[in-house]
Amino acid sequence: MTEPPGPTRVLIVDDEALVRTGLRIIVDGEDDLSVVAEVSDGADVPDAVARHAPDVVLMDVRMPRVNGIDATRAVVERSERAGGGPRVIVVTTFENDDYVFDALLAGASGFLLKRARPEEVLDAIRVVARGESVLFPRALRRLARGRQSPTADGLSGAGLTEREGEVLRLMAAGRSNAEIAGELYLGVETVKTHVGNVLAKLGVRDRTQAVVVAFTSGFVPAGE
Amino acid sequence: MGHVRLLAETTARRAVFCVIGGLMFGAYAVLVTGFTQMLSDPTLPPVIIWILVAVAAVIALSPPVLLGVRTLEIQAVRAFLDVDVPLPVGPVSNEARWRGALWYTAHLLVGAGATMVLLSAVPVGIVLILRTSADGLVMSRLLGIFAGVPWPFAAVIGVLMLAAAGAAYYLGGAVLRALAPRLLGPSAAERIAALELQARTAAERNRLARDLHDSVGHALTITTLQAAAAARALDRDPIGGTDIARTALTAIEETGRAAVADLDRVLGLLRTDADDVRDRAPVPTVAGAVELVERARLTGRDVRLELPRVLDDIPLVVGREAYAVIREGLTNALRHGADPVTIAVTRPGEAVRVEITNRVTGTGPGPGERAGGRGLAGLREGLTLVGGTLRAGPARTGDGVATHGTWYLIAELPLTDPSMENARD
Repeated sequence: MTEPPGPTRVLIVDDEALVRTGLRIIVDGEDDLSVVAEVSDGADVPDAVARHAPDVVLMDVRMPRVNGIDATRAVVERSERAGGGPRVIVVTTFENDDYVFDALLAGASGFLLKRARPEEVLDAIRVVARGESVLFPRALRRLARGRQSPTADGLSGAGLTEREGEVLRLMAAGRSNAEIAGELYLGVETVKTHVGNVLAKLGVRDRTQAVVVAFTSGFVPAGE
Repeated sequence: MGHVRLLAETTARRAVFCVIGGLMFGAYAVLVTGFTQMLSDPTLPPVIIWILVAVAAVIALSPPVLLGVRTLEIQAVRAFLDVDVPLPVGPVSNEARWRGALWYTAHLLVGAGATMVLLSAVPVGIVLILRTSADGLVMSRLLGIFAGVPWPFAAVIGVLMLAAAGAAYYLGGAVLRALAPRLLGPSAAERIAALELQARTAAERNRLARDLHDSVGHALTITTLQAAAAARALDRDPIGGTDIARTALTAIEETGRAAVADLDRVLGLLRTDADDVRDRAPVPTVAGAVELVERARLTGRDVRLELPRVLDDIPLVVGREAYAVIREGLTNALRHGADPVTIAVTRPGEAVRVEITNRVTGTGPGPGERAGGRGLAGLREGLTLVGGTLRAGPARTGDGVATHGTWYLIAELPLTDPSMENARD
């Protein structure tokens, strides 16, 4: 996961023009970020991704034809086939939204509130583009609360080593690879290897997915 | 000490409740005594007395079965005995009425006992404590068998008597407390009525929450985002950013204005709600559809409305739900579908039917079901309360094959639901 050359390319998906222009103004003002396209419906996302090769997609949830969850799933599946592609941030009006969790399950790397401060929006894009830590771990935990899968086995079947379990717990706490390395007295490269093993054993694509699984399986308690 | 004071206060309230029953019992006792005396007087013609007895009996026996008396008793039980018997809501069954009459009887009997204690044990006890010598005929008649007991012992007996009186009140209250929920509690029908009222209030609250969510929440999100963007643009380039900022300000102004109008409407509903959910006249009814359609046409959309006059006399609740269906369905159709949008309201037999269709563009789901599912789910909730149903989806041919390009929404609201009776104006 190296720093992408040039500015991070952002695609904005929202059916509300005023939301799109607002986000564009905020994102385009940064030297390291650039809005490459705006679309108004999930149906237009695959095309836009193919044409503009964005690094990050800011995805609204409720849209008239294809909603953000289905569009996210399409993007993620396409990336899996192509061996790479953009990461998705779901942008939502309300935090306690069932759709947000569905979108995370569908493969989104994180979510943002539309009322977030501009700095938070920009940070979120940068964090997700780097892919090195999980966005808003506390909010993820809140969302996972009460959504434990009925067959929660605490991941006993996943075959994680003790070390990998520790790494997953720290991921769920929102730590970056460098922070995990510091806490476990390991090298960053070793941590990356562990993270890679965790993702492979859980069968997920990225960190956020791994943390969602950690919460829903009961491996990390999500609380009451 | 606080504990003792609480006990004393509780006992006093129970005693008052018992004595009220005793006073009512006294009224009956006076009647019975009076008639007994009259009947034993050979100078009075018995026929007239028996007629008087009959009239008095009708008058005297009506309070136990009067619903107002039952309500009064429930109020009194809540206040004096601290029993949380729910206040009656809606119609009261005969069974509950008879249980109420039993309660009335129990209250009077316990009250009679309590009053006897008040008139005998209390004065005797006090005199036993206070007097120092047995003197005078009146005193010895009042004290009866205790008249000969010498003073310090007499005082002890007096204290015990007062304590026993207190305990008797406490126990009498406890007996009534145990009986109250069984005899005054809501019948099955009352419970259902209360639940229905609750469900209606909850559905109403959900609808308001949804309205606020959809209108004001959405608007505030946009204004927040636009304001942040404008500030950002000005920070970066104080001169070149003014155009961006100006556009944002206009958007904020317009969004804000619309949101305040929405808020006004929702708060208006809340204010009406505060009065009484049961008696409140629902605001817009099915005739309001005309205005909705006119407003949509003003924006250049092709909306057709069929609304016959036979619908003028439908119950308000049904009319209001029908209006909600039209509003939600029309909004969805305008937002996600294409013209023409048709709305037909018909009255096939004892039901009102709202049918909304629109053209669909693209391949995705039609209006509402996926994208704005909250709206339809809310409608279903509201319709359930009036026994109605809602279907929506792509239109199908006779063979059940989906025909491309048309989306329909059909709501059926029965007019015969018994729970609607009270809502008819």
